[in-house]
Amino acid sequence: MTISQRDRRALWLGGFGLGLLVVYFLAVEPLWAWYADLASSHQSAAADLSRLISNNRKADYYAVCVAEMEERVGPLTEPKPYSEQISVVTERLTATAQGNGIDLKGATPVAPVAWPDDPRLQRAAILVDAEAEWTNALQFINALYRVEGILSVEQFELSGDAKKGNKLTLKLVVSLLAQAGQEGASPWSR
Amino acid sequence: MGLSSGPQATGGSADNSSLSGSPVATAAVTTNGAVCVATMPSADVMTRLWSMPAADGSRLRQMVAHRLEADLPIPLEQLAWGCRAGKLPESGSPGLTVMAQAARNERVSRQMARLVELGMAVDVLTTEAEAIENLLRLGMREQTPPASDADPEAVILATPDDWLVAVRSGGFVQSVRHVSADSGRPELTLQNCRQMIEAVYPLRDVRRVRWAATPDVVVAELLAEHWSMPIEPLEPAETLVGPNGGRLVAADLAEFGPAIGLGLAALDEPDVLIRLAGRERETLSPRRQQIERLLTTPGRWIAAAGILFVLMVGTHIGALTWERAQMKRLITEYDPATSPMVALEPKIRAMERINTYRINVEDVVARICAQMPNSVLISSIQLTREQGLVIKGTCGDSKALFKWVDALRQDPRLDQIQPGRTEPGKGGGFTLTAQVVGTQRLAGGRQRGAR
Repeated sequence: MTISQRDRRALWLGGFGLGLLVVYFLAVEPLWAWYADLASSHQSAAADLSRLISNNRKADYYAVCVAEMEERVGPLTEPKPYSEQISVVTERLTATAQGNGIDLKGATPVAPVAWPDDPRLQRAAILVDAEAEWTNALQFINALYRVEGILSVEQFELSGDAKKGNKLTLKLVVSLLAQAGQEGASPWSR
Repeated sequence: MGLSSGPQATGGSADNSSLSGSPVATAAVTTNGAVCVATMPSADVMTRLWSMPAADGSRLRQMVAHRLEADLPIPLEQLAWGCRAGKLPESGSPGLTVMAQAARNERVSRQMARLVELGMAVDVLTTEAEAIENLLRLGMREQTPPASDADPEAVILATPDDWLVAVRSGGFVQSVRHVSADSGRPELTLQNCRQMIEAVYPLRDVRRVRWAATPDVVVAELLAEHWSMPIEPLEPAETLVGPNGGRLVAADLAEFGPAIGLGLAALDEPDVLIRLAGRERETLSPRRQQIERLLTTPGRWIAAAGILFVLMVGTHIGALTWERAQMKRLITEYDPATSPMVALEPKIRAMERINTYRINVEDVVARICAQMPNSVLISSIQLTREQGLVIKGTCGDSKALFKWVDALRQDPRLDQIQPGRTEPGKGGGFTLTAQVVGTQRLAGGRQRGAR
């Protein structure tokens, strides 16, 4: 059987094309996939390592910030369980009032509600009724902000009455955060 | 250098019909095809030899042109000519010996056309004299030189049909002539040779005759019998080898001498040859020539580039693999419990909560009081996260009150300041409401029991 020149050329071209396909699927494609996998895992490892390094650098930065903050507002701690937190804060609030010349009429804890930013926490409050002179009232608030556990003054009301002389009526709602335990999970449970 | 690896001797006589029995073309092409050199038939070439003062190339050419114009009976415009300079044989002389050779333009054009017909793209069309000169200069084994370089010598290359007779002196072959050989009457052939030589120099001035002949031609005995001068055979240099690798012999010189001379010239310094015509060669800058030389071996460069590419890919993949292994080791060895962030995180969260939600009561009160006029008497201040600031009091001077309000509006921490006058007939009560900028509202429900 003889093959014409044209047929021979066609066979050569077909064989060459087939060879190219075989080389692509058996060599190029697997190699490329292997390389892509290598590059991807390298990138992933680099990202993980970068996060670790970044965390360490962040720790150095935050250590300084936390130290400065603690110098200004007192120790920064995780909230305690509600019962412990409310009793400790109430005690310290009373002591602070006494230390700043505040005539404390009442400090009433209020049941906690959920803290929207963190489901593990709940927000409680203490209603403070007191009488104080103008300057003592502001000093008292400053001192309150150094008490461990107090988040903020939610409500501040200072009013005067001519009958009472220099004494001003001070009403505060002080918020504090506590751990959301069994006892604080639902206000109806107590 | 040899015929097999260097010049390929081609040609020889190709057409004897039109030019007085002299060969039409002798040509040589270097193996890589870089240069093709061919000759004009010697009968078409006029040769002059002069002594001239030393001068640079262009000046020398100018002088030669003037001399040619004066010496030759043909106008210079109708001539293709070239020249080559050598030192004067007298030592210490500052002058030059210049050989000029010229041929009619029409003959040169005809010769070029014939060479093209033979399939040759000629770079340099020179003369047979130059071919023989280069053969003697580059292709001969070291032999006893004549007493003086200026002493004339004769060279005979003999084949059964044709004897080539050249006369050389002072580093120039001054005359080349072809003598038709008559095997039956060798004395007549010798007589013709003698006449050719004596057309240039008297035979008594010729110091020696060098010869090469094919085996079937008897030259040496004939010369020794009739001419009383030293007779020396030409011996090709050991480096000249034929296409089959064998050394060239005198018979090869006799048959292909001019072509071998051209080949040697093409390999040595083709630009020095007397040039009557030829392809204009592009003058390349040295850098361009360097690039051209580099590009003559593209296969090697492609191979080198391929090897370099493979090396780079290998290095890249090696680096990726090593780095990945190192990073994974570091990540595996890292214990999150030892991270300083673990201890700091509760404090950071507490700090962020305070920064976000704490209301700075003292700062707000200080901002209100800083610009408060003396005529204002405050009865109550109320500050809450949701409702903002409410100030109640009295002020008899309404102008001072609104001036104070304007001042408060300049404060960046206070916004939406709304003054309200009450009880104007009873001393001027007022209520001032404002929002404290930066106070974060709580998303959750209101505090039970909060007022």
